[in-house]
Amino acid sequence: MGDQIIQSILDGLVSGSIYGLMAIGFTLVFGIMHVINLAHGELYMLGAFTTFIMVGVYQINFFVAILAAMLIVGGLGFLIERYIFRPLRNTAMLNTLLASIGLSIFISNLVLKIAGTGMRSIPTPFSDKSFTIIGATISTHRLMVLLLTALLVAVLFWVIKFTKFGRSLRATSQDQDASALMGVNINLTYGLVFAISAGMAAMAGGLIGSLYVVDPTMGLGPGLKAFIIVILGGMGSVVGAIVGAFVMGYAETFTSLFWAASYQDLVGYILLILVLLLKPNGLFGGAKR
Amino acid sequence: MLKIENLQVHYDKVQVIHDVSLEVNEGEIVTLIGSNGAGKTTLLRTISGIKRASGGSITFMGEPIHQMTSHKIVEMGIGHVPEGRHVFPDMSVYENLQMGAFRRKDSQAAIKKDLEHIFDLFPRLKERSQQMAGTMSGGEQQMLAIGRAIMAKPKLFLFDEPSLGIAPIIVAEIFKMIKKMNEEGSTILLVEQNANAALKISDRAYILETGKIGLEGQSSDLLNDDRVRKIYLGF
Amino acid sequence: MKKVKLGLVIFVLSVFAALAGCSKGSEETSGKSGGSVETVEIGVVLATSGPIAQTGTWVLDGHKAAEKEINDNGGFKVGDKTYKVKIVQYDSEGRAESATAATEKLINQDKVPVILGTSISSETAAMIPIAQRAKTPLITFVAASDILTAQGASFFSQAAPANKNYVEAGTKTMKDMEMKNIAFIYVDDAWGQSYGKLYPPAMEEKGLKIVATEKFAPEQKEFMTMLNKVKAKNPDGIVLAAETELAVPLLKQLHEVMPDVKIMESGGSIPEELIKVAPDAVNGLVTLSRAGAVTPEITKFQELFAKSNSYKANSFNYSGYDGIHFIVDAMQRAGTVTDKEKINKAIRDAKYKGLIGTYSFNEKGENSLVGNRAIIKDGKVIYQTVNEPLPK
Ligand SMILES: Nc1ncnc2c1ncn2[C@@H]1O[C@H](COP(=O)(O)OP(=O)(O)O)[C@@H](O)[C@H]1O
Ligand SMILES: [Mg+2]
Repeated sequence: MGDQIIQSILDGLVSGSIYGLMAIGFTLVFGIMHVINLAHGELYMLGAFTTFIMVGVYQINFFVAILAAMLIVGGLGFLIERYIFRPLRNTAMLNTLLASIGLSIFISNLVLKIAGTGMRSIPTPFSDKSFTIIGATISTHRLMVLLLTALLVAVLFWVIKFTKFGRSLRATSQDQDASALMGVNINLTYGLVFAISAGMAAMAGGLIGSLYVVDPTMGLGPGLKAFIIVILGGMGSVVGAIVGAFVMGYAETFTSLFWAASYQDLVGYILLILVLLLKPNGLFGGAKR
Repeated sequence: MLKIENLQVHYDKVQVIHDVSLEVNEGEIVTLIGSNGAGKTTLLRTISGIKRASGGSITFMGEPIHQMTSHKIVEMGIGHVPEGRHVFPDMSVYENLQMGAFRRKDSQAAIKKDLEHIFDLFPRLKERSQQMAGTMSGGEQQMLAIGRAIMAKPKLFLFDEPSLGIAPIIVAEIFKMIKKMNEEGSTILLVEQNANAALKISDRAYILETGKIGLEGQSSDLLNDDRVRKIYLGF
Repeated sequence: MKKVKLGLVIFVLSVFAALAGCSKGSEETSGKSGGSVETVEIGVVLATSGPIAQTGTWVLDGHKAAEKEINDNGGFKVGDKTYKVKIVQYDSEGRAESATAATEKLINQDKVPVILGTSISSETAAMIPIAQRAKTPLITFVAASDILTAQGASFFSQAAPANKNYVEAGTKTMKDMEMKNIAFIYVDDAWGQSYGKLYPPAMEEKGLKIVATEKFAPEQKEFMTMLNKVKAKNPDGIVLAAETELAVPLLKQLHEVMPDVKIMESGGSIPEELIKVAPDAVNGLVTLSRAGAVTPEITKFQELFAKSNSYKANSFNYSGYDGIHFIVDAMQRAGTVTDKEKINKAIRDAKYKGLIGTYSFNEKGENSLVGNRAIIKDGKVIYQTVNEPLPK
């Protein structure tokens, strides 16, 4: 049992970082733009498909393909912000919410039309070799997911905390008008935030999609899960999204270990309800507003 | 320097600025007085490009700016100290001041030097440079908002009711500050409900009544105008 | 106000785009019924979206291949009248509510004489009472849970090899594979749960030891903890019950955790698809299969199927193809295309030889189809009956 607990701690770490990759992008868009983007999962799906096309069809290097998918889907995110969310800016939040639902239905059906329902798998360059760390094993692929996620989160934190651009992001999320008065280009900032969020979703899609199966509906689950985690952690809080992701990852892992894998999702929802009962704004949704 | 001609501004279908014309010359302090809801804040927000005019024109340094985005207007040299201060609550005093210099393209050293200058002007901000701005008192936040605007080195300052909700001693300090800034070469458009203090430090004044200019003239004349005294000065 | 409307417009447009995408399936099939030839509509409910959409899509493609074949040959005769076939399909999305709504629509609006569906047991279970009440024959060629016939509905017939029959083939195969300590992992839906009930006693009877039992949710993609937990019990054989969509990520992760373990899947997956999507993870895998060794009829169907599809026909396509031909056969024997009672009786009396075996039913609506098996070896699939020895 001891070994299994150590193994589960490692498994939870991987699950948590996978969730974190999705949840951070989701929470950034909400925190800065006040948009609940329910099409986030579809951007993840697009990232997986883009990676699949490049690696599976054109035999491009896996990492190059993921980077390219991030740029392509990120660029798409920029356009989505420009042409769908900008016209709705400063209107009731329900409008952007509805638009994002519509967008998600549109994207997944478009891909379904073009690609069909068939399943696809992204070939990866990782060997079958796995690593053993104090009795727990992890495959090369998962270790890579863990490291790349950690790297990305570290870079993101550094940007937000220490760069001029990051400062303007925080300023804009705290007070849009005052930022405009400081000379922040709000349109550009929003476009970039959406692009970053979409790029992160695409990275998740390429990295994680290759662990699972690539199909047009694959974004549904991860998109919803990201939303739940962000509510759990506190809407708009990046730290909350990360903590929420690990809380969720570990709750599921230990449910699976001590109970049954099929109750994982159930426990996630119970956890959400419990947290919201005790802290209606989520774990890190503290005093703000 | 700033010339507003026949300005019209709407919120949806409701017009709140009617045909306003106004001028601020280089080196002046111009006061805009008006009661609550007259449209003063709306006028300043329109100058800054946060709100769009539906008619008329705004010219700054000879260039039309009423179609410009707000960050371009900041670059042109207009600094806006908004009503209610609007400091960034979850950022430190230091970071708030850095945000003020967001559009500046000169060296880090120059910006640093100006930061020190702000701390000289407002020693209290220096003491609290690492404190979150949202946790400070109203007066301190007002000083920060002014310091933040100075950091952009604008040619024209827009002040929106800097005395609102602030202890009287600090109000006096702030008005002294504004006067001093003007003496050092800044041009200022000051919006106030505290007509007495504002008229005393300004050169000229406009009175805005439900979106229209009701009266304009030298501040000293308006101070002695019967109607102004009755309505705005409370004598 | 203008902006509120814009949001709604975008939303509505997107929904329409989505609906256009969904409904296309049935539009495509709308036949050119004209002249003296009448058209018989056959109701089909299949999940072509949702978590287990792939299976439903395969079955539907099989139905369509049969529809096209019959109509290209000028239709079919009942008495001295000739009829064309038209499939009216609705997407059940993997949800029982959608499946029942589709059933009501087919019965009340489209007034079809017979309904085929679905590929998911929990959906089908919800449809049976509706069909029974409306006295409309309902027949599934894919859903295999024993809970379906347990409802005792006289208008429902199960034309998929039932789990009960598969369990026999399954335990025989475990023996043949020389599994000793077995971990049993099944999907927590109606189909998987039925195996969850049926396998343990059957395995015990055959002296097969279960060292771990785990179940997972149909939406699940991440199985690491579950698999590591199983691994701790040191099984030498894994018995899975998982639909292809779920088996792929599961098998991939199983390969990460236990690359050398023997695996048998109990008939939910299509081996050709597994090879295509997860080639590294499935070598040596044995799946139970509705189809046995390749017959001349199957070869002929595969050629026909290849003409209008971009992938190779699999056994779910066979079932779909059998389904339409089976119904046509029943209508011909019943001598009617409208009398639902007579058609139902003809279904129950059938002795129809299709691609995957001979369809006949007992009074409960259970069939006599047996489980066969398919072995994945070096990128190829070998089909056989369970009485043949496993290929070396
Ligand atoms: N965002 C807004 N939406 C609609 N009406 C507004 C908005 N802001 C201000 N108003 C209206 O415009 C008028 C002018 O307001 P404002 O410019 O704030 O006046 P002042 O600053 O002189 O008190 C008021 O009638 C106010 O109700
Ligand atoms: Mg005001």
